[in-house]
Amino acid sequence: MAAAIEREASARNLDVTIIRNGSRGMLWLETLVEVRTDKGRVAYGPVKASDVPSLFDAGFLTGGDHRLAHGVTAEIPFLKGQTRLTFARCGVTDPLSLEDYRHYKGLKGLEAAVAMTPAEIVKQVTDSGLRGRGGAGFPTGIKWKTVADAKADQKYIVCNADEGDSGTFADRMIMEGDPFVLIEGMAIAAIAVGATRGYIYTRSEYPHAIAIMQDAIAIARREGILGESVLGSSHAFDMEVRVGAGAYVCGEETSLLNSLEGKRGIVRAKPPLPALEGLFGKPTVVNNVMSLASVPVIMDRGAQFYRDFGVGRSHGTIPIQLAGNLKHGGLYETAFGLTLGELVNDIGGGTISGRPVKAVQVGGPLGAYFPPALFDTIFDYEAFAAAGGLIGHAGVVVFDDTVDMLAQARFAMEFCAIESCGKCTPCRIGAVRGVETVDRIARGDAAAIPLLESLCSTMKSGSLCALGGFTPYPVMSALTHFPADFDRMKEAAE
Amino acid sequence: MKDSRLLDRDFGTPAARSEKMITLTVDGFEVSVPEGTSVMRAASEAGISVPKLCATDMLDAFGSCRLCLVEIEGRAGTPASCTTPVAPGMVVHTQTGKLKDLRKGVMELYISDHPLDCLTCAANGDCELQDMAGALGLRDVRYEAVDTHFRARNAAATSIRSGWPRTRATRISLMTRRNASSARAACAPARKSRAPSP
Amino acid sequence: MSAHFSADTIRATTREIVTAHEPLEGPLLPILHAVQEAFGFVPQEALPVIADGLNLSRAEVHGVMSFYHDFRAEPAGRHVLKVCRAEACQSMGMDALADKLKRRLGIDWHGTTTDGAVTLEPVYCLGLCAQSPAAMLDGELFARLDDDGVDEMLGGIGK
Repeated sequence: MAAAIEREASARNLDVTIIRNGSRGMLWLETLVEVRTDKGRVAYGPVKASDVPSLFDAGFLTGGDHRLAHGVTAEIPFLKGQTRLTFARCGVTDPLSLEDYRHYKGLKGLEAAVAMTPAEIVKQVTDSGLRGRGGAGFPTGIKWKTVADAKADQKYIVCNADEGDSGTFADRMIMEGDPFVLIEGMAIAAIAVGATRGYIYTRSEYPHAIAIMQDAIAIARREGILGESVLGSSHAFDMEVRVGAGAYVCGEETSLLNSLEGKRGIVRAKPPLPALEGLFGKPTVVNNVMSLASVPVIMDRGAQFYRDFGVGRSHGTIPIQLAGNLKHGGLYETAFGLTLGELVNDIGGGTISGRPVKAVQVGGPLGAYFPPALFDTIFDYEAFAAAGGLIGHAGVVVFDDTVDMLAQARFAMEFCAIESCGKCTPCRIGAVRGVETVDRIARGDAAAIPLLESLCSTMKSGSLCALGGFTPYPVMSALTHFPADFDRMKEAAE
Repeated sequence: MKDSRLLDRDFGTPAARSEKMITLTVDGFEVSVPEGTSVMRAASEAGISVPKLCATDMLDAFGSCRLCLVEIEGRAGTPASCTTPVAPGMVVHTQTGKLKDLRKGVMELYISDHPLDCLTCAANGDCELQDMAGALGLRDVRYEAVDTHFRARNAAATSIRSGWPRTRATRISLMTRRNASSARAACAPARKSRAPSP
Repeated sequence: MSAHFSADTIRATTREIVTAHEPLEGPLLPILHAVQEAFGFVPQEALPVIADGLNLSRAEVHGVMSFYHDFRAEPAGRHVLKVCRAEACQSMGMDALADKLKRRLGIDWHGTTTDGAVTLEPVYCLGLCAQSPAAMLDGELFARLDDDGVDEMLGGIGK
């Protein structure tokens, strides 16, 4: 695309500077081309290489009208309605320009942290109400305090960037669009707990994110953000990117630590907590990308500023990822408190297929399926737990009425069977029995339905980690909310 | 009390070395054990045996078999007693209706993956798997027979020369933890049902 | 990406890779990635060399290698096509598209076409869930796939 614009510009003798920025998160408009004009940045999309000559003809360099024009980017409703704290720079800046990063208030959080005592940093993060954005929602400040209080010759910061949930791409967008914010967040965490080494563990399925993160780390090292002296302070901190090898279960923190140590990614029993005995047995902070990327703004703007967003015990903003069969899919960062229906119908614009929504899966492959009847559920940790679901990594996947919920239940079990680390019985064997039991139901064996329910209850309470423990969520929610899809005898009779 | 114990009794997890004693309640009995002791061992010290397959006092706890789950007042869920250390004043229940169902459900999964040839098996009568199935009251398995089992697969790698089934090696780690009889018990089905088709 | 490496070459290259990774903490995964990068798969002959270099048993190295989906014990086709099977892509009709793809290539998941050109692998999420269905061909991403998109994608490798 950039090449097409460059070619066309030179053919027309026009002087154009092309900057490849990260994604704005409006994925139905991509490839999005923005032009800096007097009115502000003007958006055109989705642009194909074949559209480029007509864009030049329409005078897009001065904001000219075109069938792909969307006016000033910041005024597009999808973007205007958001509260972008974590993603403030994503899509605006050149990801690998530290100058850009500084210009848009980057490094302010780290500068503030360097001037504080570790205990003050931990307190500020605790007071902000930030909870782990990876799924469990554990208060980040309390985790940090445990590590800070532990005595050890070596401590680690591990960033969990093993974003394997279907329907999620927020971690990828940050790593590709604003890598320095993650580096800054990790450096703040390191100062707070006294760690000197950090790892970003990400997926082999994210080649671009890996390359950009590595480049950004090299720049940060060169510019004195990482290394012997972080921003000229007495704190030393360095980090590297490690790449997983296609195992979903490595998103579970103890399994991730085993993988980082070069072992099979099998889940460890807790206790001991990773905060006390984590990577190589040393005290370790394991935080999600989103949690760490939210830290700089908290350090810069203060705990109260962040805490004031949200509802109930869910403070701050959450980057919601709208995906699947949606007209306006993309990343929507907002304070907690919207309803699921608002997200799907108003912001997401309903299905792209134009058919009615049948089910929405929230929280990845281990998240529950919600029917439209539950669209008034508030998007926060507690309300979703009460409705028998979970927010997980805030991925929302929409299905239209062509979906067969029995097939989705079967897939949930199959996925668990494929991805199980194999350590505990309910997950390793239970998931395989689950696929077979759903197949029995599909063949019209109604007696298999209570068996599936019983199996789900064994898996839920008996499993060692969330993979086996949460696989019952999609299965049971499909069974509870869409019983007609499981009634194969009746279907055959009709 | 000590003299009445059998010498080869397995306490489930190794003894803790701490001088500090912790007092807790297991099924209504008060018991004091050194700090760092597992709930499983504390129960065992009180004469209560918690069902188990993967735990032995010769090895550190692993927490994979999920038969030793217990309920602890004030804590969510059903933690494994072998990997949960005792805490002062802890109130543990090892025998409840919920636990009975859960353990039976897990045991049923083990047996669903197991060839039912006890009558011709050399380990018959000297088999921990068999003993445990009996102790948990498992009479029949509701799942379908072994030869119809579904085979999950996603790995890029294929079977290596040794002919060892292309499964995750974890399945084997569980098996190597116990004596020969239960190793055979747990191992055979995994090999049989997961072997790649020729 | 072919299997024409002698055992000696494999051992020598693997030894170099192991040495280069010595400064790392927990270097086994990076080493396995590097070996696969060098040969297109992780050859049997490499395992004892890695085990020796890291002071592990061969069984441990094999255990790690076989645990992870990415590492292959045998060479793949000249091109590796990874197609997303996860929920977001399902919601946009990936199942039907994948069936068509399988018929066109004449292979099932994990299969390699008879001419050795393409290996087809399922993948669970490429992070392109708002631009589903998605696939990755030799590390290059393709989003919003439809019949034309598949034609274009496979046209690039003469399929």
